[in-house]
Amino acid sequence: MLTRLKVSGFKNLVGVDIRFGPFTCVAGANGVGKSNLFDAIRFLSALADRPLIDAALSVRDEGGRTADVRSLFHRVGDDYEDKMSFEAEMIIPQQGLDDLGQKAKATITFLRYKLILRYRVDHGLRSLGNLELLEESLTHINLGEASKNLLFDHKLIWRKSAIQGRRTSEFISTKEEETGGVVKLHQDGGGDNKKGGGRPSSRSSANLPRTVLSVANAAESPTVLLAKREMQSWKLLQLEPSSMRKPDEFTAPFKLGTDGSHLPATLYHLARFDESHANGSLTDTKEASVYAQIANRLSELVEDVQKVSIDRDERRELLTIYVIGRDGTSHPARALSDGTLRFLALAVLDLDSEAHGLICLEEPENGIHPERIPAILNLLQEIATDVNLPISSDNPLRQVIINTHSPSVVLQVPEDSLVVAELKESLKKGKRFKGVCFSCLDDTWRGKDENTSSVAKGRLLAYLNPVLKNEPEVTHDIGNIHSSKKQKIKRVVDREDIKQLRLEFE
Amino acid sequence: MDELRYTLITDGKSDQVLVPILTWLLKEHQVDLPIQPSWADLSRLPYPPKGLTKRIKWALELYPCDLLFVHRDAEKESCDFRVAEINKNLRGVSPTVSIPVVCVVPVRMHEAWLLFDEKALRTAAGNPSGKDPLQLPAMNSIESMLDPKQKLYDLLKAVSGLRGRRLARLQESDHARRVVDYIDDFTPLRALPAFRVLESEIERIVTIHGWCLDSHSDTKRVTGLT
Repeated sequence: MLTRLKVSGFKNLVGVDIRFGPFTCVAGANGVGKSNLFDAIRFLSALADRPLIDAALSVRDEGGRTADVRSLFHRVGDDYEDKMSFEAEMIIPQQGLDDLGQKAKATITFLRYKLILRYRVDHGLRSLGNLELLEESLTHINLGEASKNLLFDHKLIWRKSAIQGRRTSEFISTKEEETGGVVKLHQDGGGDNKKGGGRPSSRSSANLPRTVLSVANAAESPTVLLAKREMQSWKLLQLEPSSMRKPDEFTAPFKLGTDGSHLPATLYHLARFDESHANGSLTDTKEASVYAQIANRLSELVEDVQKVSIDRDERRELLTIYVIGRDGTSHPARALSDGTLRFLALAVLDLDSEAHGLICLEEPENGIHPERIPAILNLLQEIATDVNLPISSDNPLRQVIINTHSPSVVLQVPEDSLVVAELKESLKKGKRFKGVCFSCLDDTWRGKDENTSSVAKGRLLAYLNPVLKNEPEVTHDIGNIHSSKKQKIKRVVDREDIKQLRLEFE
Repeated sequence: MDELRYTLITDGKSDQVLVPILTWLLKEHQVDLPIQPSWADLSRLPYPPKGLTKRIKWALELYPCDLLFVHRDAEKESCDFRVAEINKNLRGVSPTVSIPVVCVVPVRMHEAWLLFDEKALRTAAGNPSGKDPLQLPAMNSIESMLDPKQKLYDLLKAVSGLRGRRLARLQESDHARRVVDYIDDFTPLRALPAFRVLESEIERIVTIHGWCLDSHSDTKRVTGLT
């Protein structure tokens, strides 16, 4: 769980410091940098997973073929900054597996990861520039300080279940030595409080093709490994109807892809395999209950849902989702609407207690009828961990960040979850530039941090009253080019009979 | 103070083009703080407040700031009359306005301040390299023009290069709003008395409140001594 993120020098994020609770809604106009925040989170996640350059290209334009990594750096006019820094505070899972299937247990689960990267001109064949690691560190946040660092309201039982362990020294550190920066990976005995013996392994930072964190393993540095696992779980969900419509082969992975692929396989797995039976045996009651829960969930969005099921086509070895209406008509996934499929995918994600981590989602209101927006907001909040209950398979450590333009979303999310993104001017070395700034509502928990500004209420007016009472007159072409004249177009909202139905009639 | 937030209250929506002009003036007077402008959009309130006193009160409530600009076009009155009118309304605001207030009163209407940059006009009209003749009014005649807004609209139409239906559908007000975006330098406006009044008032306020570079170095010197 990402609880705080500081970013500077990445795209239009300069001096950004933003805190997150289990559920966050970022609202803002087009082009202010809401997606850049998601890109920063995705970039950090990719840096925990693959070489620096690959991580950079993965957040660049689709495919990243022609992109210079420099485009990730903040720039004013043609001047690029040459450094970017990230600092993330996070709660990591207590246990997990490394790439070789070895078990790891964290020494402590509340950590701060810091990373500074620099642009390096690359004269090689690719000449797209390269990234150099200047500083990397992973340190713990003491249990005693945890409550000071977690500003959102939560119950002690939740915190005690999420934040555990003890540690006195850093996990990764960077020291400036004569030969240049050296990144050290310190020994970590693991969760059994064995004192980490032995010398730290040192690497010259200038030569690192990837972060030290990204190569951690369970045997030597279990806590670092679990921090890596946490960061790898920060994902931007871009649910593509075309991916969700596809049937799955029997051998498909049973984890929902970030584009919504493998929806049938994930649901099928959830329904058929019960984690309480170690041998993976199936129980009919479980299967029926999973499909019923999904159907009930879906009925919050569409009225005509009797059943949801998976058709197992033995001959073609395909799994297909079917939604069966009240009159018995069954609709395969390919016939479902975009909004329905998206809702279905989120419902499956909610049920999947194996799905941990941070989910970023752009504009969840897309394709959803205004009346049903509370249903999708409710579902998204249920996906996020409930901070009044301890972490368990019922209440996995999950977090949701959405961004939106929609008045119906902004007005209906919990007041504490709203963050407003706006462009603000900064002045650095005599140069003025605009960067994104995140503010919260007055008297909400983010305001406890005095560095977080409150949003001017006037900035919310566009969400509160998206329709102007008197739209300016429009030139109305009345057929003859010589006699066109200004006249008001009577909008739906201007009709007398409609006005009477609206809340704010005079 | 780590930023200068100002709010502009205007007669109408189109007057928000004054924002870049005011920001330019603040920068001209060496404000060395990030400047965060807001145009007080009160039209979205369920009951848009009528009367300047109420509008000032609402604007300060919705867009908190360190400096308030109140705009009124002089229209048929004299600039002094408008300024007195604004001040009278200001005194009526309760609680008392405790931040500095600058009156922005162009002679007749603000469009008079957008009639000096040929390139900006042509670009805003969507025809930056057009060759249609464009006769800008002389600077000394601008403040005596009867209807600068109509003049601006006419000029925009004339240089748009559009014909027929497209010309008929041209929304002059949208293009007029773009003109200011293409002007980097408002220096020529210093020829206009009303503009000079605004500028000297801004200069005075900026100096008194120590928002400018010079006053900062003064403060530094003082703290250095102590």
